[in-house]
Amino acid sequence: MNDKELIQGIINKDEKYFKIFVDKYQSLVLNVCTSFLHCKSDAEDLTQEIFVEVFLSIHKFRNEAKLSTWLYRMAVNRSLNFIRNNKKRNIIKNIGSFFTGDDKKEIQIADPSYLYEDSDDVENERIELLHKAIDSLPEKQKIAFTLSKFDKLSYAEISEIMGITLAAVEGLIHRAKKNVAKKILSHYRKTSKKGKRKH
Amino acid sequence: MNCKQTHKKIIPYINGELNPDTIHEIKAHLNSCKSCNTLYNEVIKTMSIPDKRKEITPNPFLYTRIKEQLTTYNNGAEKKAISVSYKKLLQPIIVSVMLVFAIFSGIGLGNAYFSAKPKNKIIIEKTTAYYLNDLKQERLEMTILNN
Ligand SMILES: [Zn+2]
Repeated sequence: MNDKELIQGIINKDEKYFKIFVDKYQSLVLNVCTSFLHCKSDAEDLTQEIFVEVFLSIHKFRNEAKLSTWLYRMAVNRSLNFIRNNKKRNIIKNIGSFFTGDDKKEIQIADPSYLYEDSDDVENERIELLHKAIDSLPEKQKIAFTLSKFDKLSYAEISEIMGITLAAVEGLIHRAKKNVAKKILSHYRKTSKKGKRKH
Repeated sequence: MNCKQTHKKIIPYINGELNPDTIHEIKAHLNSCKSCNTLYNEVIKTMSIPDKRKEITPNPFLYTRIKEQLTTYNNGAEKKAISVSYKKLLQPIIVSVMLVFAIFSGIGLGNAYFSAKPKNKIIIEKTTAYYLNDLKQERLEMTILNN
């Protein structure tokens, strides 16, 4: 069954087509969301919401773009919105705890082993550092870098999803790589200085 | 090349942006300096983490959950639709019924007032006649005095 038939089936509210559609694309959406959110359970919740939205808004889909491109865009946009809303929530929480004098910070221990091959404690520290460095990137660099490095998409695919030229994608990824590397280097320089001071 | 100079060149070195002479100098420093070598290796290892990325398998209950959420959404939408149709249809009906009731009860009250008016008038007239009839009162006084 091709995508056109699938879309028509979903527009006609035929559950059978929607089930095939979810089975076909759930991995794509979930993996993109996980790449941006670095959290499996958040990514699962968001994937669920995205498919509900797709079911309700499939009539808006224009056949000019590929269905997968449309889904990638949706997954990227919803993930970035999720991150923005999370930041706002954290700011409000911090302001609240500042005024209430409640200093207990929620320590979220993320175990990224589900996401990477043979990760141990040392590797987990590196993972956390990399995630932080990526999260601090400007949005466009973050999108291009994440889709390229984590989701292994080609520059051509990224240019289609982001609606920019190949050269622009290349530029974004190049700058992103440099910025991420700078963050990582400065972190290790600081920790090695601290280590030296201790000895 | 010293440690500080090497640190500054590590990223261009990783990205392959340096000329062969500088590359040679950095390689020589990294081979002789343990701390710079560790720093370089850490950056390389951290940057190559995405290569170890695993593909995540979706939860087998994802479709069921989506269906559940859609059912909740549809129920919510139905309730909304009902409340909208209530507002659109029932509200004007109720308002017009109340208006008609108000008009008829107004008319009814009006009629009751007019039909009751003459009776009331008689009562009032009678009482006023009784209290204002000086003659009758005088007569009564007179009869008391006389007695
Ligand atoms: Zn050195």
